[in-house]
Order: sequence, then C-alpha cells, then structure tokens
Amino acid sequence: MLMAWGLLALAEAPIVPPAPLEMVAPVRPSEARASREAETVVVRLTIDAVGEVERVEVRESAGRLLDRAAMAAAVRWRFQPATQGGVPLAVQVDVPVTFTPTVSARVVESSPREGMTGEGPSLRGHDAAPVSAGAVESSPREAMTGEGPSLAVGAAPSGEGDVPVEARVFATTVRGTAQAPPPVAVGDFHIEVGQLADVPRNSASDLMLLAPGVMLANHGGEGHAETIFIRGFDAGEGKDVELRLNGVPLNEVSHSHGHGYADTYFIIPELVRALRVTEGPFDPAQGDFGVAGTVEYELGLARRGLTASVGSGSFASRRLSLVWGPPDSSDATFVGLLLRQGHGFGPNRAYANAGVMAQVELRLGDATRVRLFGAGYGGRFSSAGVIRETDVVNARLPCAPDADSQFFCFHDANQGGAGQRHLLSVELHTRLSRGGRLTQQGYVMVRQTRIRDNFTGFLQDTPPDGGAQRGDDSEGYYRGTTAGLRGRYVPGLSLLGQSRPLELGYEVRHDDVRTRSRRLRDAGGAPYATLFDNQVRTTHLGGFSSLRVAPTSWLTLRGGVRLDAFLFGVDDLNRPAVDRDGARIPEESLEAYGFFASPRASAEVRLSPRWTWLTSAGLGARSSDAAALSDAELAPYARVVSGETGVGWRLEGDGRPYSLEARAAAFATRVSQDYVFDEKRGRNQPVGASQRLGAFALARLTWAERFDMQASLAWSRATLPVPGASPWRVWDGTVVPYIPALLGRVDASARGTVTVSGQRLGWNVALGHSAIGPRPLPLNRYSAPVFLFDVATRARWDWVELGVEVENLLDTRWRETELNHVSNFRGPDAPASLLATRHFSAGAPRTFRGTLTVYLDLQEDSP
Amino acid sequence: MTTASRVTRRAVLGMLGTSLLGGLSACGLSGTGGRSIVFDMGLRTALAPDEADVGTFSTDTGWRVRLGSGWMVLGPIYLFENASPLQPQARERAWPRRLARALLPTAHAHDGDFFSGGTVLGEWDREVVFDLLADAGGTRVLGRSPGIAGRARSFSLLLQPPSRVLGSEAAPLGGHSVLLEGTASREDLRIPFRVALDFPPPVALQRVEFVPVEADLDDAGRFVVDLQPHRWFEGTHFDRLDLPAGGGTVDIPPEAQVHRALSVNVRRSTAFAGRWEP
Repeated sequence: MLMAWGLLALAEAPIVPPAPLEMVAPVRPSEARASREAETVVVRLTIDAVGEVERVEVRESAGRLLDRAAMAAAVRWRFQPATQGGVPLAVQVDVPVTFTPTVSARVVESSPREGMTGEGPSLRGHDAAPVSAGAVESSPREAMTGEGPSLAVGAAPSGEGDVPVEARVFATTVRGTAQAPPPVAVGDFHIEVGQLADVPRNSASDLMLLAPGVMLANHGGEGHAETIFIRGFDAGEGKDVELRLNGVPLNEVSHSHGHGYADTYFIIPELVRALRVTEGPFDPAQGDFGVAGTVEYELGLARRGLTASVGSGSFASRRLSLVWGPPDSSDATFVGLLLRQGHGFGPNRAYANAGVMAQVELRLGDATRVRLFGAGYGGRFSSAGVIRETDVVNARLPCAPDADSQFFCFHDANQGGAGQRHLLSVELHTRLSRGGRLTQQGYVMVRQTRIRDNFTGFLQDTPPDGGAQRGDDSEGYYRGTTAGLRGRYVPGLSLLGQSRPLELGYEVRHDDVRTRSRRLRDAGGAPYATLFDNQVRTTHLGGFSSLRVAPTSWLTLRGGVRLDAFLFGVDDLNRPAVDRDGARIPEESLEAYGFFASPRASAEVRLSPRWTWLTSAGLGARSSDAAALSDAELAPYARVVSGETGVGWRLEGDGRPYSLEARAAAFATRVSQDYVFDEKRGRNQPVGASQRLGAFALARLTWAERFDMQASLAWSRATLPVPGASPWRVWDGTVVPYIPALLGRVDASARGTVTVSGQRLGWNVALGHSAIGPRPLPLNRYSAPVFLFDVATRARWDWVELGVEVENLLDTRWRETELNHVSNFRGPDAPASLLATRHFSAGAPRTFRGTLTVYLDLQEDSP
Repeated sequence: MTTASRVTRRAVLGMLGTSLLGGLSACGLSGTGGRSIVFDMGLRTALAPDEADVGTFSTDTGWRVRLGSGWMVLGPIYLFENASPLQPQARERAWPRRLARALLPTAHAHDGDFFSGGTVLGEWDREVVFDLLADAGGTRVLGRSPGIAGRARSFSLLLQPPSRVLGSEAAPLGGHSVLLEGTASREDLRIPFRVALDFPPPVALQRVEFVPVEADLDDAGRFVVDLQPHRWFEGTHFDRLDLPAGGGTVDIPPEAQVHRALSVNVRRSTAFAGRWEP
C-alpha cells in the first residue's frame, strides 16, 4: 500500500529535467559537403538515472555524416539526472544540434531554441519525459502512468514545438562501447586513432607508438612479432604485455619463440578505431601477461561505403587494402581485406601476406546486440636476423663490400618464418531492465607459426665423433587451438553518486598447443636435434570484481581484486630413449597448478574542473611457461608490484573547436622474476628480480578534424636490484641492458581543403617522429640515439585520393635491435670467438610509397 | 563543508608536490656493469731458467737442447675470469692443508661446458703462425684485442693445423701444427733432430687449458703469452731414438717416446705462461 502511494506520489510530482554537465561540441566531418545554410540534426537522448547518455537516436536527419557526428558527440555528454520528487529517473530529451556553415567554422552551435545555452547549457524542464529502461517508443507527449519501471515511454518535444517524428535514421546504444571507460591510472590511455591514422605506419603494431614510452623493434622480419619496449620493460614479443583484439587474447602460451608471443600482423590497421593502452597492472580486468600493461585493439570503421587503396613503393613493396562498411549499419559492421608483399629493404627480407577481417553487428531487440567477428590470415617472410658488428666492419658478410651493403646484409639465409591464424568471436551485449549491463563473449582461435633464426652461427652444436659444427639455426614451431569465454556483469546500481559502480567479470581460456624447438643443419636445413617438444594443455580461469565509489564530489576511489588459476598439462615428447636404468619410452607427462590473487586500486582527486590527480597501485602476474614446469608443481609465476601517481588536465567543450589534453605521471615497478634475451636459446631467459622507476608526459591537441597532434616523452630506468637491498630502493642496481631510457614520439596530422579551378580538393599532411635515446648495452656502453621522421601527404578530389608516404625521411642508418653476445659466423671449422660482442639488426632505410585510394561512398558524397 | 573541502585539497596538493619531488630525487645513476677495454695481445718465447739464449735449455733427463728453428700455429687465445680448478692445489704450500686436501679432495662436477672458466674477458680470435726464435726473447705484438676490464685468472689456447686462411705464411710448417728442429746432446752424444707435431680435430685434443694467470686487464696494457719450449721437452729420452745408420738429422716418428712426450707436454698447462704488462 505504501509502495502504491509512493508510486502515485512520484507520478504526480513535477519532473526536474536533466542539466548538462559536460557537452562536447560535435565536429563537422571534413567529408561532409559544403553548405551555406546551417544544418540541424535532432537527436533523441535517453539519459539514465545517473545522468549518462544511454541511447541516442536521430529524429531529424541532416545527412548521414552530420547525423553520425552529432551522435558521436552526444554519446559523450553527461548530465545531472532528471528527478521527480527528488528521485532520479531516466528520461528522454530531444536535442537539436546545429552545424554552422563550413566557411565560418567547423562546429556546432546549439541555438537557444534547442534548449541549450552556450555556457553552462541546460535543458528546459518541459523537454524531458521519463522513460523506462526497456523498450523505447516514439510517442510524443505520451502521459506517464505512474507504474515506475513499467511506465510508458515518452518523447518530449523540444523548444518551440514538436519535432516531426520521422523514420529513425540511426540509433545507438552507447554505454560500454562508444564511450571510453574512465581511466584507472594516468597511464591508462584510450586512444582514438582518428586523424592520426594519416601518419605512416607499417602495421597495426605501430599504433602502439601512440602510447608514451613505447618502442618497437623487430629482429625477425615482416611477419615476426615486434619486440615491445614499454614502461621500462623489455616485454619481448608479448611476455610482459597483454594484447587483445576486441576482447580476444592474443598472447600465446608456451610459444616456442617465447611465452606470451603475440603477433599482431594479422590486424588490418584501417579497421582499428581505438586502442586502450593501460600501462601497469591497475585494472582488475587486466589478465595474464599484463605485467607491464595491456594493449587492447578496438575495431571499427567510421567511413561507410567501399574504400580501396593500392600502394606501391621502394623495394618492390605492394599493398592493396579494401575496406567496406555497409551504409545502413553502424561502424561495428565492416569487412576488410589486406594484401602485402615486397622484397624488403635488404637481402633476405622478402615477405608476402594476406588477411581478412569481418564483423557484423546485429540487434536483437532494443536492448541487445550481437557482434560476430572473424579473421583469417596467412603469411611468410624471410629474415636477415642479427649480424655481428665486427663482421660488418671487416666486410666479411656475403654481400658487396661497401658499408651500406654490409650494413643491410645477413649471415644465415635460412632465417624467416610463416604463420597462419583464424579467429572467430561472438560477442553479446545486453542492457538489462534495471540499467545493468551484461557482456558475454566466446571465441575460438586456430593458428600455426614457424620461425627460424640464428643468433650464434656455429657455436652451440656438439657434433658427434668430433665432426664439424652443424649450425645453430633454430626452428620454433607452434601449432594450437584456443577456445575461451569471457564476460562482464555490471549491475544497474547507484552508490554515492556513481552509476553502475560494481563490475564483475570472468574469463575461461583453454589452450591446446604443440610447441617445439629444433636445431637445423646449416646445409640443407634438416633438423638434427630437438631442444624441446611439448604438447601443452592449459586452462586459465580468471575472475575479478571492482567497485567505484565517490565519497565526496572531488574524490573517486576504485578498487578490486582479480583471481587467476592455471592448470597445466604437459606431454614432454623429447625425453631420452635410454637412461641409467635402461631403455625407456621417450615421453613423459606432467601436470601443475598455479593460483594467484591480484588486488588493484586507484584514487582520483578532482583538483579543479580541469585538473585531476590520479594515484594507482596494483599487483599483476605472468603465468608460468609450461615448458619449465615440473610434475605436481605449484606453478611459480612472476609477480609485479606497480605504483603510479600523476595528473591529468583537459580543456574541451564550451564551444571550443578544439580539445587539449595533457597527462604526466611518475611510476615505480618491481618484478619478482624478469627475463633477458639469451642468444643460446634464442629466447628470453630468467635473470631474477628487476625494478623500474620512470615518468612520462603526454599532450594531445585536436582541432575539429583540421589538426591533430600528440606528443609524448617518457623516461624509465630498469635495474636489477642489489642483492639484499631494500625493495624500496627501486633506483639502485645494475641497469638492465637493451631497454631504452628515454623515448619521445610526435604524431601530427593536418587536413584542409582548397579550391582549384572551381573544384574542392582535400589535402592532408602528416608527420611521425620517433626519438630513441641511447640504449644501455652490456659493459656500460650505450647505443647511438636514433631520430626518425616519417611524413605523408595526400590530396583528394571527389572520390579519388593520391598519396605519398616517406618513412625514415632522413635516410638514417639505425640499429633496430642491438644485442651483445657470443657468436661464430665464420664457419663450422673456424676458431670460435668466445667474447661477447655487439650484434644488431638493421633498421629500415628511407622508403617511399605512393598510394591511390578510391572512396566509393558516392551516396554520401553526392550533393 | 566547502571550506573543509578546500583545506583538504590544499593538503592533497601538498602531497602531490612531495611525491613528485621524491620521485625526481630518486634518479640515481649506475651502469649495466663491467667496462669494455682494448688491449694488446702478444706472444713471446720464454727463456729457460738460468739461460741467456732463447731455444737453449737443459731437460730434466739430462739432455742439452738447442733449437735451430721452431714454428707453430696457435690460437685463438681466451682469457677467463675463473681460475683453473688445478690452481688452488698447485699453490697450496702449507703441508697440513696439502695433506687434508689429499685426504678429502674437492669434487669437481662437470657443469656441461668444456671448461668452467666463466666469462671470457679477452681473446685473440684468430690463428697465428709463430716463429719461436725470430724475436730473440722479445715480444711479438699480434694486435689489438677486445676485452672486459677485470682480473683474468686463467687462459686457454688452441693448437691446430694451419688453415687455408694463413696461406703462404704457414709454408714453413709444411701442414703441421708444430715443427721443431735442433740438436740434443748429452755427454758426447749429439743428436740432430726434427720433429713435427699434429693436432687435428676434435677440438678437445687441440685445447691447452687451465693455464693459470693473474692479469688485471685494462686499457693500454698488454697480455703476453709466453711459450715455454723448455717445459715441452720434460721427460724426453733422446737416447731411445733409432738413429740413422749414416748419421744426420733424425726425423722423430710419432711412435717415438720423444714425440709422444712432446705431444703431451705441449698441451699441458705448464707449456705456456702468461703475464700482464700494464
């Protein structure tokens, strides 16, 4: 009875409309046709009980491009929620968004009739109508029935009269997809690629350079995963960085080339909408391998229609990309094809690969959508590997004797590899009736890789009967299947002003892989010794929960814990056929189990409307390489403890055509077990504990699709701690070699239009600059600093675009990888050098590429 | 409420400043450890004790040997950070300790490598043709050698047949690893001899290892390997040679005791010595 009375009272109380808190102005797309008249898009917002935009629909269209721009902005708006009798409730409001003519400005204004003012915009009270969290109907001024959650839905008119109810052009449910989650640390970056896609990049891996303190190096060729240096870590090819693609984990357990090996060559760069790079283990959702951090690629294609690009350039490089977005679908529906081939920038560097990625987003009712994603990839490559510096200086390599030929030459022509990967994922997002969210994802991945490299020449072999060395060419073979489930549940709760403060998640992953390493004869390439050969089955079960509370208006606390359990089953197929007790079966099985818990927390202090101070701390872990386990072992794992504090500053909105963001932070990290490259095994080997101290700063200026620039500078110091020293002395110890201490990066793009002979031409100039400070090498030596510049320019007329890209503009001779180890490349009979000496892999010289791109989205571009 | 909030914010800002200063002050400096150096590598034929001429010495079997020519191929040369496992025993002087060590010897497990010398601190990674008598006791500098600063406690080298890389430089050796000519005399017996030693692979039979040395390697110094031919001839019995009926030079065959003794002695750690000349 009381409840009924309460509901009745609620129904009769006046509605206090939602008041805007943050309203970022939309950006007029550069592709939109010119107009002398102001153009208005009316969007209907569903604003939930905590003031977040839950759904956006276009009620009155001004063309697809402007509609999308208006929606893209609207999903980021935040409001003080509407209330009725002091109780927050979800409402719908219609908001006209006006784009002023292009000649005057780039952006949007919200006219008074639209219910928003230029400063401190607010919605008129009568613009709002309550809405149920369920189905949304378009029924203007429909009366409320007072039934609480089952209330009928209303769509209010705005301003001077009712908005004509036209056929809905677009609608999108925004939460959890279009808007980035709040950062868990200053080093938690949600990077919209946006205009910075104009900067020349070879692969999707290069997009990681948009995060501060990241350097990529490749010693294995086009198709070999990049070695990632991040936050003072030599993360190898993925051992210390968790990589995901649309939620699917990419790190490969117990890979023959290194535990956690993650190849991102199959990702088509044109389809990467954003990256979330979380540096450090601060988010409970971060899983295995997230020691230095997590990189998640988010796919999407903003441009609808077909975009075909053909490129040709130096060293016989060819590139064909086709991406297509069906016009009547969201940017989550796309198809992409990428073909690449070339001779490479020096001998023994040829490559060829092809990949397809496709995704479709389906709506099941108004609250549920399903994404089906698939990818297929295959490629092969040759590799020059590393070369010995003394052999280069003495012109001993099998190339012409001039310095350039020697610099780009190789020792062993058998190096290279091949890979295949097929991936299928189904992802379901549901908006629950009380405002909660549920995400479920299932995926299957099948892949195979084979990598041959030779770091030492003729040194490792113990030839039978005193014969000559057979060669140290090692072949890493990996084949396997991964299946997994992951999900998140966010209850529709409100706590201390925070909407949906609780998050629960889980993941299940099973890998069944064959991982093998063999030595190959230098002559003929036949295998002559097996280093290891394991059939590995691992099951990873993980779960996490996190809670976000705001005890005051300026303080937000987040905390959570993550639990991970691993079960390893290994069939070792490389046991001896005879031991001291006689003949035996050359196989052995073992099993091991591992478990760890990782608490993580952060505190965010809002110092002012623009300044935020964020301090984060967390524990993370890296699972064991199954190849190193013993039977019935409680599997050891590497532990990382990390802390970070820093500030963020943001300037946007209030009618500004630009946004400016800056961040800076200092961090410290300690790892219980680190790995450093071991040339004898051609993979990283444990060296004990390590620690890091560092800092970074980043700034990004975005000016209404005309100019976008991001610059970052990062410093880190990685050391092996002094035995017995306090764990707080994170700056003391022997410097870990090979990890660059200072990294700088600039990405910039400018776009504009000019009129030539009455024709409107679009132009674009982009610059990428990497500055790599001296890298510490063994024996207190340092490599030379590296400064690289990449530029690109494009011109577009109507649906045709021509472009030129130049990478390494100054034709710098630089060493992408530098190592210090023992080798003997003189031959199987030559006396071996046993003194560790410098080896390196050459970085690419200046390369040109011309591109012709055709935009077959004529439907959008026609006047 | 607002005032309290402002005060708290000031405190928070103070904490922020303190943490930043703390972070900046934590920037110590140290390196990756070790230091690379470049030094000279040299070879020299050592004088026998109480002898004034190179290549002239007396053996423990009573023979007076005078070399007329001596050639050998050696290298690479490796300087190790670890001492020879034989070194502590060799240097033990106090008899109680020698006795205790004899009664309770130290076990040396094989660690998987041919020699647990640890890190190589310096090397001459090529083979060298050396004329034992050319420099009359002086040092022949081979060239500049890369290395790591620190104390080397042992070194090893390889004996091997001359490779094709050496070309005509190795012609005097006639394809052998070591070629010695000279005269051995005792009382009134005088035996001109010529002996050729060969050290083909496997490498385990070419290696001279465990040579003790104490050398603090650094820049601008020289490491000299002393060849000690007077130690090579220890235990040789020239009187057991089959002398040619008509006299003349004896080509010592491989099955002869002198040849076998030389083959073993040349690969012993006592056949060479080393020293550092700053």
